[in-house]
Amino acid sequence: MPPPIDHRQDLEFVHAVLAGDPEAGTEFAVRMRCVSRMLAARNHRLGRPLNDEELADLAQDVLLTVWRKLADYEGRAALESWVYRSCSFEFLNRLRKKRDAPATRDVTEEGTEPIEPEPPADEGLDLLLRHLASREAEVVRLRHVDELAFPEIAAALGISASSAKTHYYRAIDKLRDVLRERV
Amino acid sequence: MTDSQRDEDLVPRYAVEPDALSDDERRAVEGSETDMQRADELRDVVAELGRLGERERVRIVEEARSFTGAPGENENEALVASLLAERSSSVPRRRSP
Repeated sequence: MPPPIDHRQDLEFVHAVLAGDPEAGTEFAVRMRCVSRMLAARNHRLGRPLNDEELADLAQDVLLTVWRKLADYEGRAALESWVYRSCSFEFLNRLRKKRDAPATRDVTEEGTEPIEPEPPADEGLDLLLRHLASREAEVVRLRHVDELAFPEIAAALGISASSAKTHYYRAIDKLRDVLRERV
Repeated sequence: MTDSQRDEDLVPRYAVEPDALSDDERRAVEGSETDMQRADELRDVVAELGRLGERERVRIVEEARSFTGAPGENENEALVASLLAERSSSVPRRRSP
Protein backbone atom coordinates (compact mmCIF):
# COMPACT_ATOMS: atom_id res chain seq x y z
CA MET A 1 0.00 0.00 0.00
CA PRO A 2 1.49 3.41 -0.92
CA PRO A 3 2.22 5.77 1.97
CA PRO A 4 -0.49 8.37 2.67
CA ILE A 5 -0.40 11.91 1.31
CA ASP A 6 0.87 13.79 4.36
CA HIS A 7 1.54 17.08 2.66
CA ARG A 8 -1.69 17.94 0.93
CA GLN A 9 -1.06 21.69 1.25
CA ASP A 10 2.23 21.36 -0.62
CA LEU A 11 0.53 19.23 -3.26
CA GLU A 12 -2.18 21.85 -3.77
CA PHE A 13 0.52 24.50 -3.87
CA VAL A 14 2.39 22.63 -6.63
CA HIS A 15 -0.82 22.24 -8.61
CA ALA A 16 -1.36 25.99 -8.34
CA VAL A 17 2.19 26.63 -9.58
CA LEU A 18 1.67 24.32 -12.53
CA ALA A 19 -1.67 25.96 -13.29
CA GLY A 20 0.12 29.28 -13.66
CA ASP A 21 -1.15 30.96 -10.46
CA PRO A 22 1.08 34.08 -10.19
CA GLU A 23 0.97 34.20 -6.38
CA ALA A 24 1.97 30.55 -6.11
CA GLY A 25 4.70 31.19 -8.68
CA THR A 26 6.20 33.95 -6.56
CA GLU A 27 6.16 31.75 -3.48
CA PHE A 28 7.63 28.87 -5.47
CA ALA A 29 10.60 31.03 -6.48
CA VAL A 30 11.21 31.85 -2.81
CA ARG A 31 10.88 28.24 -1.68
CA MET A 32 13.23 27.03 -4.39
CA ARG A 33 16.04 28.99 -2.74
CA CYS A 34 16.33 25.74 -0.80
CA VAL A 35 18.02 24.16 -3.84
CA SER A 36 21.10 26.41 -3.64
CA ARG A 37 21.11 26.23 0.15
CA MET A 38 20.89 22.45 0.36
CA LEU A 39 23.68 22.12 -2.19
CA ALA A 40 25.81 24.64 -0.29
CA ALA A 41 25.14 22.85 3.02
CA ARG A 42 26.06 19.50 1.51
CA ASN A 43 29.17 20.95 -0.07
CA HIS A 44 30.17 22.54 3.23
CA ARG A 45 29.68 19.27 5.07
CA LEU A 46 31.99 17.46 2.67
CA GLY A 47 34.80 20.02 2.90
CA ARG A 48 33.82 22.15 -0.12
CA PRO A 49 34.80 19.86 -3.00
CA LEU A 50 32.90 22.15 -5.44
CA ASN A 51 33.73 25.83 -5.91
CA ASP A 52 31.09 28.59 -5.99
CA GLU A 53 30.83 28.60 -9.77
CA GLU A 54 30.35 24.85 -9.91
CA LEU A 55 27.73 25.07 -7.16
CA ALA A 56 25.81 27.82 -8.94
CA ASP A 57 25.91 25.82 -12.16
CA LEU A 58 24.72 22.71 -10.36
CA ALA A 59 21.91 24.62 -8.65
CA GLN A 60 20.52 25.60 -12.05
CA ASP A 61 20.71 22.02 -13.30
CA VAL A 62 18.90 20.75 -10.20
CA LEU A 63 16.24 23.41 -10.52
CA LEU A 64 15.58 22.43 -14.14
CA THR A 65 15.33 18.78 -13.08
CA VAL A 66 12.90 19.70 -10.29
CA TRP A 67 10.84 21.77 -12.70
CA ARG A 68 10.66 18.93 -15.23
CA LYS A 69 9.56 16.47 -12.53
CA LEU A 70 7.26 18.82 -10.64
CA ALA A 71 4.11 17.27 -12.09
CA ASP A 72 5.20 13.94 -10.51
CA TYR A 73 5.18 15.35 -6.98
CA GLU A 74 2.58 13.42 -5.00
CA GLY A 75 2.65 15.16 -1.62
CA ARG A 76 4.07 12.16 0.24
CA ALA A 77 6.85 14.32 1.68
CA ALA A 78 7.23 18.07 2.19
CA LEU A 79 8.15 19.80 -1.07
CA GLU A 80 11.64 20.66 0.23
CA SER A 81 12.28 17.05 1.29
CA TRP A 82 11.21 15.90 -2.16
CA VAL A 83 13.54 18.45 -3.76
CA TYR A 84 16.38 17.27 -1.51
CA ARG A 85 16.38 13.92 -3.32
CA SER A 86 17.20 15.63 -6.64
CA CYS A 87 19.81 17.83 -4.95
CA SER A 88 21.49 14.82 -3.46
CA PHE A 89 21.51 12.74 -6.63
CA GLU A 90 22.76 15.56 -8.86
CA PHE A 91 25.36 16.60 -6.27
CA LEU A 92 26.80 13.10 -6.02
CA ASN A 93 26.85 12.77 -9.79
CA ARG A 94 28.67 16.07 -10.19
CA LEU A 95 31.14 15.11 -7.49
CA ARG A 96 31.77 11.78 -9.10
CA LYS A 97 32.28 13.35 -12.53
CA LYS A 98 34.71 15.85 -11.03
CA ARG A 99 36.66 13.16 -9.25
CA ASP A 100 36.70 10.91 -12.29
CA ALA A 101 37.69 13.64 -14.74
CA PRO A 102 41.48 13.62 -14.25
CA ALA A 103 41.58 9.95 -13.33
CA THR A 104 43.32 7.59 -15.69
CA ARG A 105 43.79 4.98 -12.96
CA ASP A 106 42.07 1.65 -13.09
CA VAL A 107 39.60 1.55 -10.23
CA THR A 108 37.85 -1.62 -9.20
CA GLU A 109 34.42 -1.63 -7.59
CA GLU A 110 35.68 -2.42 -4.13
CA GLY A 111 38.61 -0.07 -4.51
CA THR A 112 36.52 3.00 -5.35
CA GLU A 113 36.93 5.77 -2.81
CA PRO A 114 33.88 6.39 -0.67
CA ILE A 115 32.03 9.38 -2.06
CA GLU A 116 30.59 10.69 1.15
CA PRO A 117 32.63 10.73 4.36
CA GLU A 118 29.75 12.00 6.49
CA PRO A 119 30.83 13.22 9.92
CA PRO A 120 29.66 10.84 12.65
CA ALA A 121 26.87 11.93 14.97
CA ASP A 122 25.93 10.59 18.34
CA GLU A 123 22.33 9.81 17.65
CA GLY A 124 19.82 8.30 15.25
CA LEU A 125 20.90 6.86 11.97
CA ASP A 126 24.60 7.63 12.29
CA LEU A 127 24.82 5.70 15.53
CA LEU A 128 23.27 2.69 13.84
CA LEU A 129 25.47 3.00 10.77
CA ARG A 130 28.62 2.73 12.87
CA HIS A 131 27.98 -0.99 13.02
CA LEU A 132 28.51 -1.28 9.26
CA ALA A 133 31.43 -1.26 6.85
CA SER A 134 31.80 2.16 5.19
CA ARG A 135 30.41 1.06 1.81
CA GLU A 136 27.41 -0.61 3.43
CA ALA A 137 26.70 2.49 5.52
CA GLU A 138 27.01 4.63 2.40
CA VAL A 139 24.47 2.52 0.51
CA VAL A 140 22.01 2.58 3.44
CA ARG A 141 22.37 6.34 3.74
CA LEU A 142 21.82 6.89 0.02
CA ARG A 143 18.84 4.56 0.11
CA HIS A 144 17.07 5.87 3.20
CA VAL A 145 18.19 9.48 3.62
CA ASP A 146 18.63 10.46 -0.01
CA GLU A 147 15.89 8.07 -1.14
CA LEU A 148 17.81 6.97 -4.20
CA ALA A 149 16.79 3.88 -6.14
CA PHE A 150 19.40 1.13 -6.51
CA PRO A 151 20.36 2.06 -10.09
CA GLU A 152 20.91 5.64 -8.87
CA ILE A 153 22.98 4.46 -5.91
CA ALA A 154 24.99 2.32 -8.29
CA ALA A 155 25.59 5.30 -10.59
CA ALA A 156 26.59 7.55 -7.70
CA LEU A 157 29.05 5.05 -6.26
CA GLY A 158 30.35 3.66 -9.54
CA ILE A 159 29.28 0.12 -8.75
CA SER A 160 26.73 -2.22 -10.31
CA ALA A 161 23.11 -2.17 -9.13
CA SER A 162 23.39 -5.78 -7.99
CA SER A 163 26.48 -4.90 -5.98
CA ALA A 164 24.56 -2.02 -4.37
CA LYS A 165 21.79 -4.45 -3.45
CA THR A 166 24.29 -6.91 -2.01
CA HIS A 167 25.81 -4.21 0.21
CA TYR A 168 22.32 -3.17 1.28
CA TYR A 169 21.17 -6.68 2.04
CA ARG A 170 24.33 -7.38 4.03
CA ALA A 171 23.79 -4.12 5.92
CA ILE A 172 20.20 -4.81 6.94
CA ASP A 173 21.20 -8.33 7.96
CA LYS A 174 23.86 -6.88 10.30
CA LEU A 175 21.48 -4.22 11.61
CA ARG A 176 18.92 -6.91 12.34
CA ASP A 177 21.37 -8.38 14.88
CA VAL A 178 22.14 -4.93 16.28
CA LEU A 179 18.48 -4.05 16.75
CA ARG A 180 17.71 -7.48 18.23
CA GLU A 181 20.41 -6.97 20.84
CA ARG A 182 18.87 -3.62 21.77
CA VAL A 183 15.47 -5.15 22.55
CA MET B 1 7.55 0.72 -8.49
CA THR B 2 7.29 2.36 -5.09
CA ASP B 3 10.18 2.63 -2.64
CA SER B 4 8.62 0.16 -0.25
CA GLN B 5 8.16 -2.32 -3.10
CA ARG B 6 11.84 -1.97 -3.96
CA ASP B 7 12.74 -2.80 -0.37
CA GLU B 8 10.29 -5.66 -0.30
CA ASP B 9 12.14 -7.17 -3.25
CA LEU B 10 15.18 -7.56 -1.06
CA VAL B 11 13.67 -9.75 1.61
CA PRO B 12 12.04 -13.17 1.21
CA ARG B 13 8.36 -12.78 0.60
CA TYR B 14 5.43 -14.91 1.61
CA ALA B 15 3.76 -16.63 -1.34
CA VAL B 16 0.44 -16.48 0.52
CA GLU B 17 -0.77 -14.64 3.59
CA PRO B 18 0.93 -16.44 6.50
CA ASP B 19 -2.14 -16.21 8.73
CA ALA B 20 -4.18 -18.24 6.29
CA LEU B 21 -1.96 -21.31 6.76
CA SER B 22 -1.45 -23.80 9.55
CA ASP B 23 2.08 -24.05 10.94
CA ASP B 24 2.76 -27.23 8.97
CA GLU B 25 1.44 -25.75 5.73
CA ARG B 26 3.41 -22.61 6.30
CA ARG B 27 6.63 -24.56 6.81
CA ALA B 28 5.93 -26.57 3.65
CA VAL B 29 5.27 -23.50 1.50
CA GLU B 30 7.76 -21.04 2.90
CA GLY B 31 10.46 -22.98 4.68
CA SER B 32 11.19 -22.93 8.39
CA GLU B 33 9.71 -20.59 10.97
CA THR B 34 13.21 -19.28 11.46
CA ASP B 35 13.24 -18.12 7.83
CA MET B 36 9.93 -16.37 8.27
CA GLN B 37 11.00 -14.76 11.51
CA ARG B 38 14.15 -13.57 9.77
CA ALA B 39 12.11 -12.07 6.93
CA ASP B 40 9.90 -10.27 9.46
CA GLU B 41 12.93 -8.91 11.27
CA LEU B 42 14.49 -7.67 8.05
CA ARG B 43 11.27 -5.88 7.20
CA ASP B 44 11.35 -4.28 10.65
CA VAL B 45 14.93 -3.09 10.04
CA VAL B 46 13.93 -1.57 6.69
CA ALA B 47 10.99 0.18 8.35
CA GLU B 48 13.23 1.53 11.14
CA LEU B 49 15.75 2.78 8.58
CA GLY B 50 12.91 4.49 6.74
CA ARG B 51 11.88 6.31 9.91
CA LEU B 52 15.44 7.35 10.78
CA GLY B 53 16.11 8.41 7.18
CA GLU B 54 13.05 10.65 7.16
CA ARG B 55 14.13 12.26 10.44
CA GLU B 56 17.61 12.82 9.03
CA ARG B 57 16.21 14.37 5.86
CA VAL B 58 14.11 16.83 7.83
CA ARG B 59 17.20 17.76 9.88
CA ILE B 60 19.29 18.34 6.72
CA VAL B 61 16.58 20.53 5.15
CA GLU B 62 16.40 22.56 8.37
CA GLU B 63 20.18 22.91 8.52
CA ALA B 64 20.28 24.11 4.90
CA ARG B 65 18.04 27.10 5.77
CA SER B 66 20.97 28.80 7.46
CA PHE B 67 22.98 28.84 4.21
CA THR B 68 21.55 32.12 3.02
CA GLY B 69 23.10 33.74 -0.03
CA ALA B 70 24.32 30.38 -1.35
CA PRO B 71 25.96 30.33 -4.80
CA GLY B 72 23.30 30.33 -7.52
CA GLU B 73 20.47 31.54 -5.29
CA ASN B 74 19.78 34.74 -7.25
CA GLU B 75 20.27 33.06 -10.61
CA ASN B 76 17.78 30.40 -9.56
CA GLU B 77 15.12 32.94 -8.75
CA ALA B 78 15.59 34.45 -12.21
CA LEU B 79 15.44 30.99 -13.76
CA VAL B 80 12.20 30.16 -11.90
CA ALA B 81 10.70 33.44 -13.08
CA SER B 82 11.52 32.61 -16.71
CA LEU B 83 10.20 29.04 -16.35
CA LEU B 84 6.97 30.34 -14.86
CA ALA B 85 6.61 32.96 -17.60
CA GLU B 86 7.19 30.31 -20.23
CA ARG B 87 4.58 28.08 -18.63
CA SER B 88 1.96 30.77 -18.25
CA SER B 89 2.34 31.71 -21.91
CA SER B 90 1.61 28.09 -22.84
CA VAL B 91 -1.36 27.72 -20.45
CA PRO B 92 -4.58 28.22 -22.46
CA ARG B 93 -6.26 31.44 -21.37
CA ARG B 94 -9.96 31.51 -20.57
CA ARG B 95 -12.04 33.37 -23.13
CA SER B 96 -13.61 36.52 -21.79
CA PRO B 97 -17.42 36.38 -21.78
